Amino acid sequence: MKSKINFTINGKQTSVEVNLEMPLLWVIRDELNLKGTKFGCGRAMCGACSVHVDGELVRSCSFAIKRAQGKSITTIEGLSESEENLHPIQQAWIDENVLQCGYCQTGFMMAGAKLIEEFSDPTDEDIKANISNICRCGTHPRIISAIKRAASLKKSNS
Amino acid sequence: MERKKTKEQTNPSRRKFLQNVGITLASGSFVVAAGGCQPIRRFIADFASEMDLPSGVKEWHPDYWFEINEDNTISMFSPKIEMGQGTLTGFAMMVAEELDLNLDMVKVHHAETSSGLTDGFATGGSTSTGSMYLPLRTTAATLAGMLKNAAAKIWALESTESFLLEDAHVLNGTDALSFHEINLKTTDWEVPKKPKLKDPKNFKVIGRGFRRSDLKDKVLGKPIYAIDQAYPNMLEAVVLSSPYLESSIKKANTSKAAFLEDVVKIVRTETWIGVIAKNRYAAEMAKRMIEVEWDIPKKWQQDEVLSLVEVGKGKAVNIQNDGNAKKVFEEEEIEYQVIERSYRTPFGSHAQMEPNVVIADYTEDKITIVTGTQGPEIIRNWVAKEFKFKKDKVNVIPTFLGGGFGNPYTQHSEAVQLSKAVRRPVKVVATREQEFQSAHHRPCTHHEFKVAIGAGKKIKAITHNQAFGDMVLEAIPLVKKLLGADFVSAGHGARILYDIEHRNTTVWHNKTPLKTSIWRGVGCFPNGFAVETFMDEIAVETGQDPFEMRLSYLRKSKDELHQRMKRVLETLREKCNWENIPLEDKVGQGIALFEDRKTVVAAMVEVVAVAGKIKVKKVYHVSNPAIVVNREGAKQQVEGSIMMGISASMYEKITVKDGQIEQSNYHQYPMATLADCPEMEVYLLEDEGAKRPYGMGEPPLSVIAPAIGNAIFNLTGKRQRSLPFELEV
Ligand code: FES
Ligand code: FES
Repeated sequence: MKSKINFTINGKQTSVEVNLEMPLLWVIRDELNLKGTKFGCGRAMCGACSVHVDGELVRSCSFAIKRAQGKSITTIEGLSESEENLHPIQQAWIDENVLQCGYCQTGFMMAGAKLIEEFSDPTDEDIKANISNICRCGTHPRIISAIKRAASLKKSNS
Repeated sequence: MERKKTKEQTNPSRRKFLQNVGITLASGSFVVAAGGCQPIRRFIADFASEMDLPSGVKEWHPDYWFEINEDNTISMFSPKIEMGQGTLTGFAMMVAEELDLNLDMVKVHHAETSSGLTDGFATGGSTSTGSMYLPLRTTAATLAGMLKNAAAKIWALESTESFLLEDAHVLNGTDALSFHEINLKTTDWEVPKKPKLKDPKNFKVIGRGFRRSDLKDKVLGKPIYAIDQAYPNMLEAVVLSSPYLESSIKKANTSKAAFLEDVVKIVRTETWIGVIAKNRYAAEMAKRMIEVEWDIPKKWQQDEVLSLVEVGKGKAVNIQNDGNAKKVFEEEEIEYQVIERSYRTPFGSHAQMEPNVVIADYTEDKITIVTGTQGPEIIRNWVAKEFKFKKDKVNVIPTFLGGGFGNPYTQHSEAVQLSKAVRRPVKVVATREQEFQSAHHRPCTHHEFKVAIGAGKKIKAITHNQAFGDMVLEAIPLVKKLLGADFVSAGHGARILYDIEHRNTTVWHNKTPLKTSIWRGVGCFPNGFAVETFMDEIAVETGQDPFEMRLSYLRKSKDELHQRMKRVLETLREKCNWENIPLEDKVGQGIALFEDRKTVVAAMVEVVAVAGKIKVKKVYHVSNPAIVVNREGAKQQVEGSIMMGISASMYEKITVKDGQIEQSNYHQYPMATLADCPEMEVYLLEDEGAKRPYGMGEPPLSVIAPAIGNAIFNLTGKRQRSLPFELEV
């Protein structure tokens, strides 16, 4: 049974007609054709599918689309104003040359973007305690440095 | 399948390079002599560990490799795959070096198999940068020579002596021609007979540190992986494969699944059932509604599986026999101190973050496959054989990979069969449960060591017996017969490299009911752990300093490898300030030294106990790959190896229960996270006058597990002889 759901994605009002139980992840990827949000485990364990829903960090593989009704969703594609004017987290990711295969990284950036909202000056411990995403390539040390850099970029921007 | 235009269509210049010139650079090939007796196998084992592995690439003409674009940038097509290891960035640097380009003017893409630029060896074995170093630079230098020759013709000059390259232009005094202009004006290319490679003294790019060429796309979340690809008319599919070992389908009821909304077709074979639907969600939901009864010939238990892999069982091959170790142990006159130990490593998962994805499009006259894989040519050949198509009627389009680590190529057969059933492109995305329960894993190992220690604490004789499950051999029966056991991959690193008079190493090959395969570092992960833990045990038992004791077996001044090992170890000792480490009770230290395909690595690890649990506090890591192409890339590989080593040695383990792999998803297979990230000091050494680099993708990993285990012993007094480590204190 399909139903219509309305929500905002990356600032644009949109609607889809899908099964209400369909995970937000597959709506984003396959219905809206935004491929930056990744599928890793399907069970809210790896964080590859992380997005923001009304400003909250959400693992979209385990978030039924019906819960998105009327909400505002941000994915990696909507994080920066433009490809030239990057969100501090994405800029820091470039400065620190963080990634390897890259597959887990959009999820980490979404988590990092949320973290620097909450911690203006995050320590290693803040980062370690608050992000549980999985990266197999072992980019962890660079993720930690990049999040700290992003926090200071954010401060100097504002 | 509708796709973006092919290279020929978008860029006519490519055709222009297709002149009747051909240069072939020998890239070496792995020739194995026939014969089954031990000495020959020992010879092969020696040979295989000393040799420079081949690139597997046969086409070296610039024509296959390069296109000159209208914006005067260069496109390069690589048969080697980018899976995070930074290979494409390293390639771009080599090309930029020889063509005097800025790095951002070289755009690197993966080559489709139909382009003719293929790679029979596959991307792996830490060989890409090393095996391509001279050939690829030569190809780029050839292109440089061709451009200069063509410019000379345009300018009607005899000699190209005074020409310089700058910013994708050929310069002669104040005259300049862009590469693009030259390409437009040239139909008859003259290939230099002996392209001149740059003298390393004049390198401007190689040896420095550059950010990755794929960095921005990946930061922006661009659709570059197989899972992101979509084609008109494409359907989504999931495959239901058995979660039980060695089983097939007895009975299945698919009627409920077939009626689910958006389900298009259900395809059933003896071993799997495929659900094709309009979207992945529907396919996945339908799969869950299939009722299956599996035919399980035997419900394997963990102990039974482990008991298959034991020294003394299976096929034995001796791969090292110096002196006469047996005689030393039988000696009655002299009293030796004899130490015997055994070690085990478990089955492990690749757990790469992108699940296996294959898109297949089967039509009457051709098959197209889009997938992330380390071996596009291998898949092309398998598909051609299975579906009885000529090889040139099968095209494999490789994408960026969301992690490789040796994970083998699966689901292409299923994807093609599903596409054939509906005559539309079909995308098969594996579930994480399939990745854990139906995919291939790193085989488990068992090791037995014995040493005889004589006067002056000197090791007189050492023996190592290693038993392992298969990595590659079961799939190639001919080679299996020839080699007897897979010492080239699973037994890689088993031989003792320290200068000990009597050394003897034997490997035991056995089959297990799990599907097993290559895993980052092949045999170096288990062998590095076993050999270097044993060395630490000897040092402790005989009251020697772990650095000093190792160095005392690296004294042969004529042995190049020993000299390099010595230098790495001495550098590590200095960098971690070993002599001045305070005797603190609360921090444990451990070291390890290893060699993998000529890259030498060593690490010193510090561990502490936090809230009753072992944590790695700091890692000092030194590696010597002879030449470092991209310092940033090499550093990333070390950091990644440290994290993967922590993860695999402290947490990871695949186990079997009642015929099934117990771990179905990440919650049952804990891995290292940010919380495990230690401080790292990474050092890279080079060899003066080296001709080519050795790999950095795998070797840095070999020392992590033993150094951690030795550090845990140093802290707690509890010796760690199997993985994953006991972390409670
Ligand atoms: S895919 Fe959602 S957390 Fe792993
Ligand atoms: S960069 Fe590959 S999994 Fe994180």
